[in-house]
Amino acid sequence: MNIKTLSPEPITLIELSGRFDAHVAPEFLTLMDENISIFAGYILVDLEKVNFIDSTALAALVRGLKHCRENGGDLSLCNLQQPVQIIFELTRMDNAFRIYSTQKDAYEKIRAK
Amino acid sequence: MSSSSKLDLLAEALSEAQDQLLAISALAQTTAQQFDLEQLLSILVQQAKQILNADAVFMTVDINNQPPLFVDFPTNYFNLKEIVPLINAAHESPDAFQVIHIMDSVPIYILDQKIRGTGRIKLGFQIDTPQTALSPTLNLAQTITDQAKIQIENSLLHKELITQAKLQIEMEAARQMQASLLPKSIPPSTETGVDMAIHFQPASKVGGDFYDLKSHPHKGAIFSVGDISGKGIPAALLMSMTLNALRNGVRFIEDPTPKKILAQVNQNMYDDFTRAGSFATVFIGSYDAHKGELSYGNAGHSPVVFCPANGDARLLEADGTALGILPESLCESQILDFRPGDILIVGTDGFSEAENPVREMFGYKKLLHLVEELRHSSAQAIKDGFVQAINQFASGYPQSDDQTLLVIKVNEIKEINHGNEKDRPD
Repeated sequence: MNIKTLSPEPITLIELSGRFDAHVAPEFLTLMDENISIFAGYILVDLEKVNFIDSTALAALVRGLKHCRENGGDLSLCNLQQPVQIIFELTRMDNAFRIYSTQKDAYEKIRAK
Repeated sequence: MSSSSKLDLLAEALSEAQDQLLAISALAQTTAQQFDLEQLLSILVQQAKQILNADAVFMTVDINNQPPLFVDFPTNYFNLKEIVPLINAAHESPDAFQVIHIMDSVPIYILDQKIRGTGRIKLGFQIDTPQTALSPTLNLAQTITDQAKIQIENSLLHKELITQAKLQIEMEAARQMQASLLPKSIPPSTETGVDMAIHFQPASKVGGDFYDLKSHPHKGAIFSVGDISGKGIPAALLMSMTLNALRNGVRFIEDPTPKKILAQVNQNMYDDFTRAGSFATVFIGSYDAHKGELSYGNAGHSPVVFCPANGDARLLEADGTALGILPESLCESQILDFRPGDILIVGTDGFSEAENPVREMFGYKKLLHLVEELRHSSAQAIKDGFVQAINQFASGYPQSDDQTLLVIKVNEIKEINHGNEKDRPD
């Protein structure tokens, strides 16, 4: 997994790749905690290169989501690949997160707020 | 010197060496069963004084998780205020000991050696012998220190073993407690109209999965399966709260429907789940034997497999997200025809996400195929078939998540007994 942080304000972009699972989740949580305090708590997680996600990773995303919202921000996702999309639909996680098809789409909608 | 005098001297030296060997051996034996660190050191300094023929001996042990220990013989011989600065100033060499310091008119020699990574052990003795003549005594001191290191290590390991054993006992007690929260038995199919079988296997002693089964008076059965995110003790604590909240919902809500129950549990548990950084996927179902219907609610839970008696198996998707994520639950009650021969399987993702040694997951497709293959078997046989398939697939790769599987099959003959009542079909 590769975490890349780019910071065009006011959004922090986190790009992940590979397996997003129990081994990776703690690192992800730490990264998000560090970035929430810097910006107004808007985080975009790009999952384009993620081919696998498990329940621990979902729990990490949910934690991030609540954290961001408590700080007046939000956590959104974009570029979900099919295996991940399936899991989100099965578990209705797509009710909990704002999901965008592309980064560009996400930036436009978030900046508009 | 004459040959015979030389021989006498040699004989004396040999005898002395033998005595010292015996003394060291006695030291080893006396300290072998002594697991208390301070008492161990007391024995060591006492015997060291004798073996070394010293005026006084002290030992200090300084290891990470312990307060530093100082023991001397004769007891309180050394003035701590004077000796401690000397001990601290003693040069630390990585492997072998070094003679460190000389104090007052009668010299004190300190051996300093590492123990357990960053720990230090020091042996100090006061002896009226010049350093030039000290070689045999230093060798003995080294041997004593080596012996001390072994025994100290044993003492620490012993303590650690006891702590581990206590922890294991507590975990086993927790496991039994958690198991006792779950239904003691499966309600008989004569009461519920369905054949049920359950497999429940936490990944460690305690876990975050739960299930509940009961016969629904005059109707059929109510059941639920849930999965708290995470594993081990934190998940187990939330598991008991969630299970309790669900049971209360079933019992005390007026005209309970899956929608109402899930909404109430979400409301009760939302703050706890937020604080804990967790959530719970829950499937709750209510089977009505008279109507041949299953009313259910699915809060983010999977895998849920429905296999009709004469059709293809399919996954039942969640219609609302897991409990504890949103302040209000959006789950609706769903209705499904549930007729003789139909099968419902509710598992937790420990099944669908079970991995084999090459890190492939079992996946949903296999679950669907498997239930179709086993559709003519009893609930128990279907459950056993699934468990066997998962174990074969995993082929020894350790179970990383709690695994729960509930299999429900509608009886071929619909006949429900309620104690003395008999409800026969016309």
